[in-house]
Amino acid sequence: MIKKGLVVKLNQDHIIVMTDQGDYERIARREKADIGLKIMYTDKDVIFNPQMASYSKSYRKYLVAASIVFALIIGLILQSMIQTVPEQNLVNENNENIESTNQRVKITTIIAVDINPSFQLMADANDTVVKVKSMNDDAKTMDVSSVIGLNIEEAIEHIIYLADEAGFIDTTDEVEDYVLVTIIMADDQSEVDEESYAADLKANTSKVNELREKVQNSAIVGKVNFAVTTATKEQLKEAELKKIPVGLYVSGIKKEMTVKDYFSKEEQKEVFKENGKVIDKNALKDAVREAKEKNEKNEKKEKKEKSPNPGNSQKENQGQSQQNRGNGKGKGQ
Amino acid sequence: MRTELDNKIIQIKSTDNKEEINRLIEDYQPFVLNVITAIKKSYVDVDNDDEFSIGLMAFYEALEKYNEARGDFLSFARLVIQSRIKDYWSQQKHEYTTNLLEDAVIEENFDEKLLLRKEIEDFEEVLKSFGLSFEQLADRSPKHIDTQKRAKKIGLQAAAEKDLMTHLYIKKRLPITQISRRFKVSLVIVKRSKITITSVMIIVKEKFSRIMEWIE
Repeated sequence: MIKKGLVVKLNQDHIIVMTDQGDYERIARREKADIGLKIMYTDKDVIFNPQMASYSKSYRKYLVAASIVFALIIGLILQSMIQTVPEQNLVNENNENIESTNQRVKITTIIAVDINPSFQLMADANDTVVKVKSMNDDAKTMDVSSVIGLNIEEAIEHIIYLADEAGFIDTTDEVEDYVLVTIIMADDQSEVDEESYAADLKANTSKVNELREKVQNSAIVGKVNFAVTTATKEQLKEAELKKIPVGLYVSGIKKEMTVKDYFSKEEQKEVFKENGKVIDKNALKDAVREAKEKNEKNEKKEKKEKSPNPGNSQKENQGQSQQNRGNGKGKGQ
Repeated sequence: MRTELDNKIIQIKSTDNKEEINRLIEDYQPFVLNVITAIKKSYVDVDNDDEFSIGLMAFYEALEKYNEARGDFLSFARLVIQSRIKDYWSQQKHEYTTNLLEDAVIEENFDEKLLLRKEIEDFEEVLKSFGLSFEQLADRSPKHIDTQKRAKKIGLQAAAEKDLMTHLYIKKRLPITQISRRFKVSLVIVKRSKITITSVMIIVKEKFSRIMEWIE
């Protein structure tokens, strides 16, 4: 097929043309190439994705620099933190753990990521993933330990990339792929042992950098749909018992069902939207933040209802809720 | 050794099947263009495609003249095309020096080219403010012709909706979900074509009329 292109950019070894369909292609550079020239060319001239040449080269440089700085900072922080460390790993629901919380990283958010495979990410107050759990057999076949130390959004992207690598994402486009992200507020005892976190992080630094580059260059993350919603810790437990992705559980699904099946039906998608959002990758960050805020608001509202003095200002209320949290758990503020 | 194509041509010629001959010429258009660009060492201009017409005529001539004794058809056709193009060039050189009227036309084209060039450069600047570059557009735009057509159409439709345009310019991000809903296309399609859609919307909004003319 003969194609027609408008030359829009001259690069050293190739030019970029805009086709008469409004699409863009890199093609081989010849003499007398000039911006504004309208040329005829064939597929033979087209250069397919030269490793995303100029775009990713500069980006990579930036990435390397950024990851070195990142590693240095983490190293410094950890050095100052690893001193006395209790031996317990993830403390989920036991109250015996009364030691000071100084050596522990508090988990503030649990993020359930269901593609199938299903994972849970535990993040601290800075939205940094401090622990990852594989929730089903498919998930156990994948090594996702490298997401520890990443921020939530990046960790989700990495998991999608790894799931695609492992063949869990259907790229034939016959069925749309959905990644269900459910944000859950952790209860106050959820903590992760600093030492294990530090060890995980250390083991990962080089792996993460390598992977990060791959994720950035991979198109897969841009190809999936995201569905983001929120849930409570109780709902999470119930959903886990029933082996249903928690994000589907809160949308009224009470029997086993995969994410893909759920979102293949328009009416179910609509039900989901009542509580959550269906979005693209670019909006992921915003949606995660929104979901977190929604969670926090709900929590505050709950506390407010329980509070004996509903006329309190918000500030006092916050203090109140913190006190409430402290109570009964043997932990003062 | 005779290739499949050689045999096919001999067979078509013997039955004088006009339809088959036309289809063959159609199929081998890219070949003709590649031969021309190879000896020209530069591109064939869309606005001045005499060379391409001459190449196609030469290809037809080669078909007419071809017989088994000529060996490989494509090598033979290449020779004919090259020779006709060279004839055309030398003839043109002669004409250009004497034809003043044509010079005036060239002058006018020259102005138009400069204006188009300016639009393209401005376009690149606007893209930059959206964090986009032509390189990214080239690497991420849809490769399938139907997808491209659809993306262009969605872009033009979306450009006509004021709120979508405002959203794009203020947030510097395409309102994908809204577009998907409003024009009843799946989220995945919008997402995959978002760069093309964005660029079409920018071209409309910035009134890059010469670029617009190109994609219309």
